[in-house]
Parts: sequence; structure tokens; C-alpha cells
Amino acid sequence: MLTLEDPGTLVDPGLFAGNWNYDENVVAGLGLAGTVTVDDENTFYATPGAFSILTRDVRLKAHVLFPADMPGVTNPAQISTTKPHYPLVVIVHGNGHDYTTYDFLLQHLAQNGFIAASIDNRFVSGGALVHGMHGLGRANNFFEHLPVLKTKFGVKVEDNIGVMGHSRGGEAVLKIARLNQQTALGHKIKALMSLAPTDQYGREALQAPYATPYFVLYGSRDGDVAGWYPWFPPFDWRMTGFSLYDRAGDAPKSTAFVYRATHNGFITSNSDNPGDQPLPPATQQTIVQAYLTAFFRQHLRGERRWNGMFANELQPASVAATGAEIYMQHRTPGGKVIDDFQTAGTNWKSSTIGGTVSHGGTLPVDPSKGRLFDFPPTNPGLDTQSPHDTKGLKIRWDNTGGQLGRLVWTIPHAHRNVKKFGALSLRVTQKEGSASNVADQPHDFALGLTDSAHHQRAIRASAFGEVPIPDQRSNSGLRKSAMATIVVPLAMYTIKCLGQPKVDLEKIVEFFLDFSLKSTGEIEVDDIEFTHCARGTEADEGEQDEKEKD
Amino acid sequence: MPPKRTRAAPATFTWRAQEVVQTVDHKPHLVVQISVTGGVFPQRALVPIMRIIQGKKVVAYSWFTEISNDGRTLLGHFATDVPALGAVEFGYPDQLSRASAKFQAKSIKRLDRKRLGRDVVDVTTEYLKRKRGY
Repeated sequence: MLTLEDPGTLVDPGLFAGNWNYDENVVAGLGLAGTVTVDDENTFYATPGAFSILTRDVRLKAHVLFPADMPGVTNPAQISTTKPHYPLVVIVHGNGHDYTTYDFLLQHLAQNGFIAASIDNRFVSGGALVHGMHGLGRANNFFEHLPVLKTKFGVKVEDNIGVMGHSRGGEAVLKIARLNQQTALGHKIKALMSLAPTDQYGREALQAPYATPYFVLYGSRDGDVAGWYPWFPPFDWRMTGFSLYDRAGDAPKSTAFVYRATHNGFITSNSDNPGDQPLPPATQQTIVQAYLTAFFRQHLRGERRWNGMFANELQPASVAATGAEIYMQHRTPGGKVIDDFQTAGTNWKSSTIGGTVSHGGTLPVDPSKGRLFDFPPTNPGLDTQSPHDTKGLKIRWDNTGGQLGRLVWTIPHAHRNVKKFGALSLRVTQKEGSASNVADQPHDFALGLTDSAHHQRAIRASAFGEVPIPDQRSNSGLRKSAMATIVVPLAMYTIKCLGQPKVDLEKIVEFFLDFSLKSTGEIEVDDIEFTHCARGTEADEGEQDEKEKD
Repeated sequence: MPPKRTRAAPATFTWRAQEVVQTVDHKPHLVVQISVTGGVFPQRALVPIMRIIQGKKVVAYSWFTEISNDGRTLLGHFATDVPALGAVEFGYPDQLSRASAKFQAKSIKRLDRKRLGRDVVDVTTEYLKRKRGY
């Protein structure tokens, strides 16, 4: 059995954290401009590009921690000699946040072999440093800091960069990837993490040609980016990390939805929502430290053994010990999509893969296909409680009359051989507030495959994941029908099982959802696909990689 | 179900309005700046807004809204042909407040157009509609 190292407590042997802070005067001493002017947006906006520019003067200030071979090092020239160079992680804070409060993460990253900087995103107004910078300004400010870090660390800093942004900074990381590509800056930005991000500046979509591995960490009791109704059209989504995740594509992506975590508790305190029984800040900080470290080790150091943490397969001991409920979404490009419901219109009877969909009269109402949330209220989408910015399928069943619900997707001939894939995957949520779902109980159904010889097998979703109970925060209008990903290894359909025929993965004719496990229910599903991701596979490869490195 | 919205704690918010020239898109723009005082305006992830309401109808949205350095003034920037009457409403989606006195455009302290440079863009409702699409 594999034992997962704990990225929340792991440090590279013998590494300490050196500390070099800089301000505009130090930067000027390097021969660079210590105060720079950056373009920012004027406000929030829905349509990409529909903003005006405010210019902001920024004094370049940052805290930087880096790998060192002894404690007390303050000069980057004394960076650890263990390796010839180190990847760079930059933290971009949110509005009203203090860039110095991320030191605990910088320290841990430094001891994990990263040069780690947290940059100040305030600007000068009336001679004072003030908050209020929007997303674009934070992104442009990031690019002003890179020459400082590259000048000071020279050949010791790799052009191998990860960025973690919090709140408005969490949205800015997507702009960083886009601007880096669109303006041909050429920095090698390899991984992006959004912590409790906003999604209010032009509906960013992290996709090719600037697709980047992406991770969102978000709390169900966020009191600031709470997922409010849009103000007015053309805003028609609820503007949280869920919508950023939905629109991202063409690179691996994942979301960890932490029940009872807040907006600021991941870094400082639960000041944004103190009265709603939030997790203690120490718990939230344990979670962010573990996931942030694993994510950047995975993508900047090439350590694939952390994949399992982002695919809902493994949880490190430091996180598991907190007892926190965490639900993951994850997706890797390259799958064979059965249905992602993105085709035009509301016709649920035809699928993305080109087959038909039917329930044969086993459901009390036809499924509904469409945008999960929409706006204005005269056009509400499938679920007013959905945080998602995508189309999906809403399904309700009722077996109490004796009819067992089943929804069947046919697989066209050209797509019937799925042997090269590792798993069957979908994302699913209970519909918040539905009278068809039993309160305080996780849901269940089965994912089935049928081959051309009519052999079929259905695997319980609960064996490989959870269809979670939506978190019941006190403001019921902010409860979320938040999807989680369930991955069933295809081996489950072929292993020997007494009395159960094996399913021939080269001749799949149907995929089906079997709703016989619970008498009633109402769920929403999306991204049904055959995927290369399979439980255990990635971890095994990662372990091998690490041994080869050693 | 829309989320429950709370009203800010009772406070006497007052407003005053004047025309100012602000640099936007790297050019000077003439706008009406409505300053609301009477409370503390926190910096948050969300962007504060200000708008003019007539009954339940929103008749003008600010182009952009900023919080003063000391956090005690909210500054909304509107088109110079802002509606003549209404109520000034402001805040965040979860917490909206209104200024106690009705808004009257005739109270706006206007700048002398003749003394403005030719390069100053007069921001009108039509101009904003073209810029932002609503």
C-alpha cells in the first residue's frame, strides 16, 4: 500500500527558509524602477474587454522567502546550494488583504524548494498606500515584480513559475496567464491556484492558447465572495471559483470545496463570516498549506505523486486529522465525452457523443437540459442555487410507484471501444432544497455500462465518491448545489465477480444511470466521460518518478 | 431563491455632488462625483456600487465607485447628465444602503465648461452606454 507523504508538513531535508524583503528603495538600488504605473480596470464588468482603464502608481514591495542551508540567511546570494536553481511561486493577495500575512506559506514553500514571494498590491493615492486595485492591476503588478526577482536571484531562479492568488488576486491569476500569452511576455507560467477567487472582471476563461494547470480552493461559508445573485444583465452567473473552474479547459483542473471555510480564514481570521460556525482558521490554514504545496510540487517540480490529492483519491494526514469535509471536482483533457450538455438548445434526447438519451418512461418527468444557473429571474436556469456557469442535466426520479428510474445514453458505433481509458467519470450534485432528496443524507445511484452482448454492470457512485449534502449555511439563498466529481475505474466492469458477467470494454453500446438505490431524488450532472484518470494509476506513476529522480 | 439581503445598520448617510475631472483611459474625463459620508466603507473582494433609484427602478449606475483613503467616503462617478431626481443607493450586493436626503441634480456643483481643456471628454449617459454596453 502506498503511503502518501504529507505536503502540509513535508520539507526538503536540510532546507531552511532565508528571508529577503524588498521595497521601492531596494528595487531602485537594483537599477530598476521602484515605483511603476500599471493599468487597472475601473470596476466589475461582464463582457470581456468592456472596461475603462484607471492608472495606478505602485511601489514595488514584497516578502520573499527562499531555500537556505542554514537558519538566519537574509541575502539571496546565500541561497541553498543543494540545487542549481529553484522554481518561483508568487502570491497575489486580495483587496484589503495584507501581503505580509502569507509568510507562513512562503516559509513552507521555501523549505519545499521554491523561491516564494508575496507582493503588495496597494497603490499610491494622496501619498499613501491604499487598497482598491481591481483584477487587471494586480496582474500587471505581478509582471512588474518578475524583473526584480530575476535580477536579484539571477540564475538561481528558474523560468518555471507558479502563481497563487487570493480573492481578487485569485481572479488576477487567470489574467496573468492570458496577458503572458497575448502580449508575448514569454514567462513560463506552469501552474495557477485561485484561493476564494472573485469572478467579476470580464468572465475570464482559462483555456488554450493560455491553458494552464489550475486549482481552485474555496469555502462554503465564504462571507465575501459568497455567490450572490448577479446585479443586473449581462451578468448571468453567481461569480465564484466554481464558475472560473467551469470555464477553464485544455489543461488539468481541480477544485476543492471546503465545507465551513470562509473567505479570509484560509490566511488570517473568519472576519468575513464569524457567526456561521466556520472552521477554525488554523484548520483552514492547514488545508491551504497542504494543497498549495502539493499543487506546486506537482506542476513545478514534476512530482506526479500528488495527483491523487486533486483527484479525490488521497488526503494527507494533516488535512484528514482536521476532519474537514472537502469535495473535489477534477478533470483532465483527453477524455471521450459522452455528454457535456453543451450542444445548442434544450433537447436532452441527443448527446455530445452523437447518441440518443432516453428514460423509457421510468422517470416521472423528462430530464431538463440547459444552463444550471441563469439570470434574470425570469430566465432562472435549472437551479437558482447552482454556483455553476455551464450547462448540465437535471434529473428527478421517483421509484415509489414501483417503476425504477433509469436514464440511458447510447454509444455510437465509432466510439464503442473504450479499452484505452481508465475510468468513467461525471460530476454531480444534489439539488439544494429539493423535496425529492432526503435531508441530511448523501445520495446514491449507479453508473452502468452495457456491451453489445447485453452484458451489463452498474457500480454504485458511493463506492468511489460522494454526492454530498449541500452545506447548510445560515443564509439559505447562498447554499450551493455544488458538483463533485465521481470517478469509477473501468476495471470495476471487468473484474471477475460471481454471477456477474464481465462487460466487454471494446464493445460498449450504452452508458446508463440507475436510480434504484434511493426511492426518490433530484440531482444535476455534467461532464460524463471516459477518462484516462484511474484510481491509483497516477500515484503509482508518481512514486516511480520520484524513485527515478533519486 | 434570491439570497437574503440585509440593510446596513441605521446611519444617516448624506451625499454631495460635484463635477470633477478624472483620468480614465489615459485621458481626462468630466464626470459627476457623488460623495456619500456617514459610515465606514470596508474594502472587500466585491466591488462597491452606487446607483440612482426612482421608486424601484434603477435609473443610473455609477461608472466606477471608489472608497476614500480613510474609508469614510464612498465616491461614485456618474455621467454628467445624471437623472434630475432620485435616491442614492450604494453598497455591496448583500448590504445596500440609501442616503437619507433625496438626490437632486440641481445641487451638483458644476465646473465651468469654458475653463476645461478641449481634450476633456464629457461623460454622458450615451457615452457610458457605448462604453459598457448597458
